[in-house]
Amino acid sequence: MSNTTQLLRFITAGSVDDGKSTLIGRLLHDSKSIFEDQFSAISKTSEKRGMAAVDLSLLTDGLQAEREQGITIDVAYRYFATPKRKFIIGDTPGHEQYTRNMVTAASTANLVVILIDARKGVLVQTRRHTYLASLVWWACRTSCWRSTRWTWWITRNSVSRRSSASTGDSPRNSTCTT
Amino acid sequence: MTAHTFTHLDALESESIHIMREVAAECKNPALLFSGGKDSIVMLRLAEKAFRPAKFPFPLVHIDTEHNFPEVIECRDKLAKDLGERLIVRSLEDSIKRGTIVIKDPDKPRNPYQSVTLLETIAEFGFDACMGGARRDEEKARAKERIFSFRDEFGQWDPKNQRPELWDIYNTRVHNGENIRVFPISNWTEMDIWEYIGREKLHIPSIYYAHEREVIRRGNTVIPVSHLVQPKPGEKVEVVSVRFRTVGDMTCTAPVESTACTVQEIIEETATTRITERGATRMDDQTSDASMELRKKEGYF
Repeated sequence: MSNTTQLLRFITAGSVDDGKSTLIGRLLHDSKSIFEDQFSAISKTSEKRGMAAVDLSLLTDGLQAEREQGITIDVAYRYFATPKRKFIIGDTPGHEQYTRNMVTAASTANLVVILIDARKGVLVQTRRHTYLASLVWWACRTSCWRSTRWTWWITRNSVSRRSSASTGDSPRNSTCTT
Repeated sequence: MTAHTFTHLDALESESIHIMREVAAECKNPALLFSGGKDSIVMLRLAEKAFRPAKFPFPLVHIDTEHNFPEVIECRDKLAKDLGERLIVRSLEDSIKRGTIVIKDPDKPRNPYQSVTLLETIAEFGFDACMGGARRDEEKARAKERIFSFRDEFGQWDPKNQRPELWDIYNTRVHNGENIRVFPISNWTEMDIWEYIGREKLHIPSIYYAHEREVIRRGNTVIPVSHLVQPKPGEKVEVVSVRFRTVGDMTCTAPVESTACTVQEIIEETATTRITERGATRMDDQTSDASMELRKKEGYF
């Protein structure tokens, strides 16, 4: 890996059973990031459940209760890298009662992939996750902007005390990436 | 002068330093769990970057199973001495003498019992936060854990009821008797650790590099011969070039066959390996589908 690889954090979101864990499983499978021992473990579990093919969603369901019930309860983090970028993926739960766990994952993400099952359309949890993703992003952007403004204010005042020259850009013009 | 680029290692390092400073600022009596393995050596370098030139605002704590590789213990003591930091070592033997641990077979792995001594040590010193070098890419239950992981008064983890953790704001509030386990390098992978060891030129125990060792083969696993593991009748002892991907209890840590003698060679091997770090080397994780989760629920770090 080169010394200049960047980091991208993203999560999958959307309603229950719309394929969040499966998408991540497939992504890891196609990028050859599933290790042999992990693959044989999920093959065994899929076989036990009488499935014809390997269920890739099992890869991120790391808790005993999740595997028993076939649902995601809390966010699972997975890692993979390409020569250009390193990725941190969060697999979030779709159930209403675990929405707080989705928010936890969304708060540190740079990007949210929202999955929609075309047969079912936009559901309540799809809307909720979409709204929350924009909410945590705006909250982060606002706090970041506030701190930028504060730093700018202190800098300006401390500089102006030493010399009367006006300095700096307005924070409104400065770009703030999250 | 070359322009500085902010790499993924810089991003991870900066996140970890922030977490360590947060622990130092918010917790009354924190500790850093230090075993002498590669992850905890990276933790020490991060702590140096977070707090030097001051002393660390916490002691280093090691829960010794007395089944450790001598090279690792030597490295642990040397690093603590060179840094001039306080090292607290508590041994499973003390708990065995007290009768809180009853060992049926002395040659069996001692990792399951570590939780008991860890909880006793936490109670002895009244630690309210213990930082550990666990990573989420190591194991599927660890992939689920928060960076600030809350433990109840019995040291137990409740994976179905974890606290929310938003942005980089961490909740450090606990009641008396409860504590938190903090994992500053949660988001690092095995590859990141090796790249960081290379970048920072860290000194790690020699057994991480390829060396000749007497081993026996049981199934697909290569097992090192030591005073604790002797060949059974019919088993053949071979001398093979191996290196360790993890270092833990000598009776359940297996090396991998390798000729990688430098950090760069290890990075190349890590990039092409097809088996996970613990899957290749930890026999105690393979006893059941949820062995790590069960141990964590009992108080393991």
